[in-house]
Amino acid sequence: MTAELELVRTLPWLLFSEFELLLLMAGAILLMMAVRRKAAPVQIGLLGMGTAICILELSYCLLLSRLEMADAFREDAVIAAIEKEMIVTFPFPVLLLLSALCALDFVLGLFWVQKAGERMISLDSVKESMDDLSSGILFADEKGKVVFQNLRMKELCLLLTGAELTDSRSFWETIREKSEPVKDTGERFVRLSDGRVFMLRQRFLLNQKEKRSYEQMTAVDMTEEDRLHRRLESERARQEERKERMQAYNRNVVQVTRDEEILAAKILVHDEIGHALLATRRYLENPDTDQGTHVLTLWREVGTLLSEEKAEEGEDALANLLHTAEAIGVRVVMDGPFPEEGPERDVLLQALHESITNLIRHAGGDTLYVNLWRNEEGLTMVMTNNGSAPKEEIVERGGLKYLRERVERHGGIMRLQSRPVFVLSMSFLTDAGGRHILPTDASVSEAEVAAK
Amino acid sequence: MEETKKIKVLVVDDQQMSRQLFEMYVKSSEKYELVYSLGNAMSADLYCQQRPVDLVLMDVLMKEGIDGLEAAARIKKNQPGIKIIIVTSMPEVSYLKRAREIGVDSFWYKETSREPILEIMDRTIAGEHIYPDQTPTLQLGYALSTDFTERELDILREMTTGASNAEIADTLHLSPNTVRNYIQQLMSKTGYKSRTELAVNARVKGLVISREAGKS
Repeated sequence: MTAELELVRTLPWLLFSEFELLLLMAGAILLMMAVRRKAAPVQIGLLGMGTAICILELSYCLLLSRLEMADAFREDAVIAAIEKEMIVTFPFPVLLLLSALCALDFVLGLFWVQKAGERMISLDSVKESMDDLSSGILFADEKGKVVFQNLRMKELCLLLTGAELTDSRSFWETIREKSEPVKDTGERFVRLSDGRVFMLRQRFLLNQKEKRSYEQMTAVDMTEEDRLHRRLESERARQEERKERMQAYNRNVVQVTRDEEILAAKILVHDEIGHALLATRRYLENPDTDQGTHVLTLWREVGTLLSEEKAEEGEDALANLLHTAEAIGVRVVMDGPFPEEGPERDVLLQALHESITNLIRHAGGDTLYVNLWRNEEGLTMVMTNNGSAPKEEIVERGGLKYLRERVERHGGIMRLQSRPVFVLSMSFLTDAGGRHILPTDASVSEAEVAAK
Repeated sequence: MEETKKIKVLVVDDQQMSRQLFEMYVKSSEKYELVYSLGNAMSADLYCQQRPVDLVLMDVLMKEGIDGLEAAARIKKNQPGIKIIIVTSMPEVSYLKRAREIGVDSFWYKETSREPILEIMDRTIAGEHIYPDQTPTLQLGYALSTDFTERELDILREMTTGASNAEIADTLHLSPNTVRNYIQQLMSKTGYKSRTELAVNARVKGLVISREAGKS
């Protein structure tokens, strides 16, 4: 066999060397990527070991192919030198097994490198994650030039301005024109034509390191919150309406009840008429009996009831109070219009009652002076009496304490003066906006009462 | 009976015809003397403070000012010796309870009490305390008034003011969820489809009347 033919024996080793070289290159690249992406030390170690084995295997294969070549050309000196260098020899299956293990190591390495890459934050991944946000975000430099914006903010700008977002200042101006302010927070609510609602906020941040300021604009999707808020508002309005309806109904139902009672009383009246008619008939049939007076009384009672039926529907609480005062020997001299309705009427009635009580219990007088006046600011009532002045400063307790609570609960002011004479006054003052106004002078003199 | 020995009666009822009937009953009896008649409870205690009164016939529901029970409480505070009979046509259960707490002597339902008012007056003056065993039974939807618990009636009473669940919860010191459960229970007992229907019917029948009822 010629030497050229014998060279064919070197071919498998050369091919195997090329395979090992490829493995080595793959291993080296994976090792570098694993180090760069900060893969786990065990994974880097395994990749390093695989790469080292590849180097050894490649060297061994190259040495073997050189040996085969020297053998083909009968270069005994070279053969001796190579054999001297080769400390150990590996059978081919062992080499193949090692190569397979290295290949497996590198396949795993590929997976490890990919995983390590996913954990690493790059600029692209930052942009990608910002674009995935349901909220919009934008950063601009001191001149308003946009340096970063995500897809949501880009979309908002297109919907609001119809153009690409380049200048944050003009964009914010557009937002101001097309949005509602959120109380005093500086934030703006933007309602888009598709029904979505965004809350936009502009802030200026100072980068201490670069000594530069940046503008940050955020747009938070508030569509769901807005929907819930509207629902809550409508529910509140509904409840308020229901409450008002019930209160009105409560007022009316008292009248309904009264009407029912009147009906029941009328039935009784008719019974009384029947009774009187029967008694009259019996008396007329036998006029000699002493039933005449009884019949007369019955008809008088019927007459009273029928006249009451036609009469006005009773006195109101004020008239009743004044009549009672008169009945117990108290004269009430009232000057000014007592309110016919409104929440303050009930409180003033209570005050009148309290003043009459104080007059008869403590002051020993018989006349209560009541002055009422109404001006553009509201209503004032001042009460004093002809009894003796309190011996000491009046301490508010019981009725007076409760009265003050009621006056204040209705937005009024109550003033109590013990000397030189007892004066109880209260005002229900309002300004043009319906808000309560505190008077400058808390004391009301008798002269003021007299002047009025 | 001597004129001076007659029992002095004060009638307080804001409905004129009803008041007139009570006046008639009082006048028809030899034992009693009508000293005064009032159309509003507010002045009742004033009169009692200054004039001799032995017995007060007091209605509860007033068009304005304080109600009859509050007036009764004032009278009992200052003149505990005066006997008071509460007269009402409202089956509101809380009236009976409040009347007992105040120390009202007797309680009489205008339309359903079997005993005549004069008999109640006689027995009250004799020192008896006459209270009906229960309020008049009435129908509310599918339920009878006796089917409701005290707590349910408290909730129902607040509902008649138009208060929301949160407001009712606040007033009665309950949680809004508990209030919601009670309302559902009430609706299921009565068969009413809405809370407004339930509240309106409860109020119109007089089963529950809030303290603020009828006041502006």
